[in-house]
Parts: sequence; C-alpha cells; structure tokens
Amino acid sequence: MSSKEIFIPIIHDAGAQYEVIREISAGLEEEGVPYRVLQRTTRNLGDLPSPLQVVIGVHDNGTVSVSHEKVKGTPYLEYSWKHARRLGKNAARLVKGLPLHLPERG
Amino acid sequence: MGKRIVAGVDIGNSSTEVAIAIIEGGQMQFLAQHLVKTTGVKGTVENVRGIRFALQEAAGKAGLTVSQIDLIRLNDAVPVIGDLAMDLISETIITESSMIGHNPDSPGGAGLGVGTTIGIEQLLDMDTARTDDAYIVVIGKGFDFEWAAGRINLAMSRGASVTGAIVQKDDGVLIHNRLQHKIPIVDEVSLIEKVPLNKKAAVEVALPGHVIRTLSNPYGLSTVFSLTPDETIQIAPVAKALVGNRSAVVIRTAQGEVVERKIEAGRMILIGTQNRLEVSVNDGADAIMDAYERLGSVTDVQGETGTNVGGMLSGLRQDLAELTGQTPGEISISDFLAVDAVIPSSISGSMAGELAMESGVALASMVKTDKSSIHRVARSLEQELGIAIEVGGVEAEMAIRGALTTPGTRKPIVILDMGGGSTDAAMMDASGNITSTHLAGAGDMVTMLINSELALGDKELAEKIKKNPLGKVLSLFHMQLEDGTMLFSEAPFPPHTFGRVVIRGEDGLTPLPTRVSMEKIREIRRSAKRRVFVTNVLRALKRIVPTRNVKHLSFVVMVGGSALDFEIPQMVTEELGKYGIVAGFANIRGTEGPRNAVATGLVLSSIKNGGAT
Repeated sequence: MSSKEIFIPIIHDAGAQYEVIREISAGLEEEGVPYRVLQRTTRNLGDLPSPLQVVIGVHDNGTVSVSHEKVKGTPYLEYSWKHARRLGKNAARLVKGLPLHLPERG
Repeated sequence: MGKRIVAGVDIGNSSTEVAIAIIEGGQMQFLAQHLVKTTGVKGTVENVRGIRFALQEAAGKAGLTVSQIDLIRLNDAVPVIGDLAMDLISETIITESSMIGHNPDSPGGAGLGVGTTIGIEQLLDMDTARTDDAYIVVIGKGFDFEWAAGRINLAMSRGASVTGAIVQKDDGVLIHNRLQHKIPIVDEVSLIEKVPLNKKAAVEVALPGHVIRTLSNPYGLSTVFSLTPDETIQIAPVAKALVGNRSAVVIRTAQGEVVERKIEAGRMILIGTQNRLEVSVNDGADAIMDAYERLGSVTDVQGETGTNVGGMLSGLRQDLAELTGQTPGEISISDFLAVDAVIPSSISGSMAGELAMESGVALASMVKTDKSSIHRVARSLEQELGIAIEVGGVEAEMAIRGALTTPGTRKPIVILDMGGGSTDAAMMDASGNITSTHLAGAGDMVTMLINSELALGDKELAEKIKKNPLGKVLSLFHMQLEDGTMLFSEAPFPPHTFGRVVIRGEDGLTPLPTRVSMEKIREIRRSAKRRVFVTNVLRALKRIVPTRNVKHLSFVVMVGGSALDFEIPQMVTEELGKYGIVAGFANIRGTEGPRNAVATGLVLSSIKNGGAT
C-alpha cells in the first residue's frame, strides 16, 4: 500500500462471496470513493493502516463491517451480507462526513 | 396560633405547580415545590389526578405526607381556553403533468437530456425502427446497473440516441461510469411506476454544488417542450417548484396542462363592540392584526363561509365547544393572534414524495368559559384528600405576589406570564391596583409553526426542537454547535447521528430526519418564537398600560414555562430594550427562576388574608 494513494481497503476472508464484495464496491463507487480489495485475515481491522482511516471487512460469519482507526475495539458499523451495498455506501459517507443510511432493524 | 402547613396549587394549561410552606407565628418558610404536566383540560375534574401527584411529590421532598397539609389553596384559574388552527391561503394544483423535482445525493452525469420515455427492456426493439428519436430510458429496480449500462451502450452503438435516464435504485453514478457516451441520470426515483412511457420528457442534472437552470426556468421549459405563450403561463408553477434543485425530471403528458388554482382564502369578519371590520386573509397576518388593532377589542370573529378561513374558524369553534362543554353557537372568540406561516403540501404529479411549501396563516384563538369550573375541581379534590381547600385570589394577583419575591423588584411592576396556551400580562401600580389581560398564542403555537414549517409531522419532535439548541455532527469526534463553535467528544458519536443535524437535549442527541440545514432550522425556530412571543408581548403590554404607550413602563418580569426557554426571554428583553424597559425573567423566592410564581403567591396570600381561621 503506497501511502500516497487514497482508497478504502476491503479486506475479505477466504470464504467471502464475490457478490458481497461486488455490492460493497458498488456502494463505494456510487459515492465516488476509491477502494482496493485484499484477501487476508479480517481480525483486528481497526489496527490496520488505511489512508482514509476506514477499513471494510467481509467476514466468513456472514457479516460485513466498517472499522475506524480511531474507534478501538468493536467495528463502528456491522451489518449482515445482505446489506453489503449499504455498508459500502456508508463507509464512503463516513469518509465524506455525510449522514449514514442505516438499514431498518432486523 | 400553632404551626400550619399550606400548599399552593397552580393549574395551568400545560403544567400544574405546587409550593408547600410552613407558617409558624406569622413566619413563613417554603419547604418544597413540584411541577407536573396538567392532566386533562385546565379547570376540569381530570386535573385532580395531576394535583394529587404533584402534592405527593412536593410533600415527599419536604419530608411530609400529603395528610399533614392543613390547607390547600387553588388558583382561580382564568376561564379562558385557547386553540390553534392553520390553513393555506393559496394552493398550487398541478394536473395532468408529471414532474420530479428531486434531489438524490448522487445523480449521475450532468447536463440536459430531452427525449421520449422508454423502458430499458424495450430499448433495443425501438431503435432500429425509428432512429430519429431521442430516448430517455426508464430503469426500474429489477435491473442491475451493469446490465442496464451495457444495454444503453449497445443501443447507442447501433445508432440510437439516448439522452438521459431515470433510475429507481441509487445507481446513477454506477451506470454513468459504465457508459461510453455520458448522459444525465436522475436516480432514487421511488415511484418510478408512475413515470409514463412514450411521452416527451426532459432530464437535467447540475454539477455538484450547482443548481439546474433550464427546467427551473419557464422559458427553458417552453423551449424544451415547444410551448405556446399560453402553455408557458400554465407550466410556470412547475418551473417555480424546481428552483434550487440539483436534478429534475419533467414529463409532459398528452393532455398535459398545469393549472394553478387559488382556493378562495376568504375574509375574516372581526366584530367589535361598536362596529365590525372585514379583512381578506390573502393580505396576510400583518393586515389582519392591523385591522384588529384599529378595532380595539373583539367580541367575536367569524369567517366567510365556504372559504379556507371559514372552515378554519368553524373548526376552532367546534374544538373550543368540545373543550368547554358549550355549543358552538355559544362560543364567542375573545382574542386571536394571526401569524404568517409556511405550510407543506404534497405536489400532485411528484414521483418521489416531494412537498411544496405554500404560504398560509396560523390562528390562535381564545374563548371565555364557564367560571365556576374551578370550584368543581376544588370540591372533588377536597373529597378525595379530606384536606381543606380554598380557592384563593385572582390568578394575575397571585402571579404578581409571587413575582415580587424576585430579588430587585418592587411595585409598580408588570408581569408577563408566557405559558403554553396563552400569553398573559398583569400590572400592579404603586398603590396595589391590578389590571390584567389574556392573549391567545404562546408556546403551543410556536410548536405548531415549527412542526409545519419543517414538514415534520411530529409534534413531539417539534417541541424538542423548540426547547433545545442544535448541533451538527461533523466527524466521529466533533460537532459544530449552532453558534459556530466546535464541541469535541471523547467517545465517538453513534452512527445514527453521524453527519446529521441533532437536537442537543438533556436526554442526549436526537437526530433530525430532515435534510434542512442547521442554520435554516435555527432560523425557523427563532422566527416562530419571534412571531408569536414578541408580537404578543407588545400586544399585551399595550393593553395593560393605562396610557396605552409601552414607553411608560419601567420594570417587566417574565414568568411561566416559556420564560424558561433558552432564547425567548432574551428576544423579549431585546425588543423591550428598544422602549427603554428593564425586562428579564423572574427568580421566584430567589431560587425558583420563572417557575412557581402563582403557587408561591397563593401561599403568601394565605398569611396576608389572616391565614388561620
């Protein structure tokens, strides 16, 4: 990762579905924020360096998450795979400082 | 004479207040006070429940039980009841033409596209047949963005002209990024099934930070749709409704016509003791209040039947009749306040649920009611508690006695009691004579205006906006406050508040569902308060000053719930400062702020009345 480039890393476990990653990417693209997809362990994503301080995780357990460098411990956002597009969108909006579109309960 | 415990109970329109004091050998010491929401309509037997609860709480704070109270003094609640109504004074009705003045966060592309609407699934069938036509593609939520973009690219490569797209999902940028020839795309059009196919349409998207220029200009629309001068006049309201948007779609249907119909707002008939005045509601609130001032005082107000104002006043009359147990015919309005207001109304022909803000008038009105009702409350309370009840004194006098416990005050004094339902003023001259007045319009009217002008449809939220300052969460850790300063938070703000305008209440942050900016919300809030309270304070003072000249007053003390507001007292202080008046909110007994004036006055007057009998 060159420190001069600006993007949000999408880190996924080996078992992540392609469709989930595609939807996250679409959410980021719609908001105009660059991203890069990487496969490696999705543990402790908040400790991973990211040019925009935000890291997206696609987990084997069926969830997607957004971790922020400055928020230690649990991810700032965590949804099920079916809200992948929304998660990508919200990760971008978090970077842009715009209100998030939270999924309805359930 | 032994020691006696006396409680004062003040039943207001919105809150019931209690003060408890011990009187021993002519010495009085206040022990506790409490405030609860008034149960039921002021002056009805339902009040007893709230009173009993307030007494229990106050007694508890004083280390007593309710049964140790020797005497309860109730205020002779002023028999006036107010109600509120608002309605449009004009209405735009758009028929047979569809438009979307729509601001999605991320439309695609930029520019203006004009063409015939066509479903994406028909796109390839059509282009070979009539290659001269330009198309606006309509893409429902069932279609994937890559597929849709591929389809448009294919059609264009075969020679079809596609000039714009209307998309249901939030896919505008995604489709745009995949197109070989760029077109403007409006997305997040929730009611896409309402978009008629095979009709001439125009799609316009402006660059970020810009607003559309063609579809918001009547002559732009006439150019796009080749309209005659008469048709241009008809379509002008559409252009007006689109001003300030970043993107829009206008579709012209075959019989398309736009009609602006002005519903007759009607005339208000103000009936005074000697004569009557008529004023058209279309002239606005200022003209109505001017007419009222010329008339001096009203004995009743009527609205022209079959008009908006007629309906509004008969609705008020109906409500007031229900509240007071009188028939609508017996109700005569003793005061009213008209305020200009902005009222949201849904745009017919809109496809994403947009609202148009129309001008209207809000009315607060007040009636005098049956005076004996407080005695029914007193009897019922006496039966329930087995404690002696006394209905003591005129409310205005009690309030002044309470207000005079504010350090630094003396007679002559004027109090402004700014509550939820009414704005009252009373003056005590140097020799103790009291004049008082009760005016319609107070805190509840401010709430109604905020609710309407922000199109919230949620009275409780409007009430919260009224009572608390705002902030905007800018990042995980900092928030801009409405005065422009920044607040740093050690814990990250929760996701549901991120990026939003929030109400900073005592119970934490409440995010607002609206996209309206913090500055605009603040402006609406302050303007609503000014329109109601500053207007009413001046009206009230003019009525109680013997000379009718407000400049002849020197000390004004504000009491009541709305005097606790974080900005209303300052607004009043500032306004009255122009007349050289010292105005500020009370500090009852040096500790209670603007609260508990009447309850305190009731207790105090028990000793002056000779107290024990």
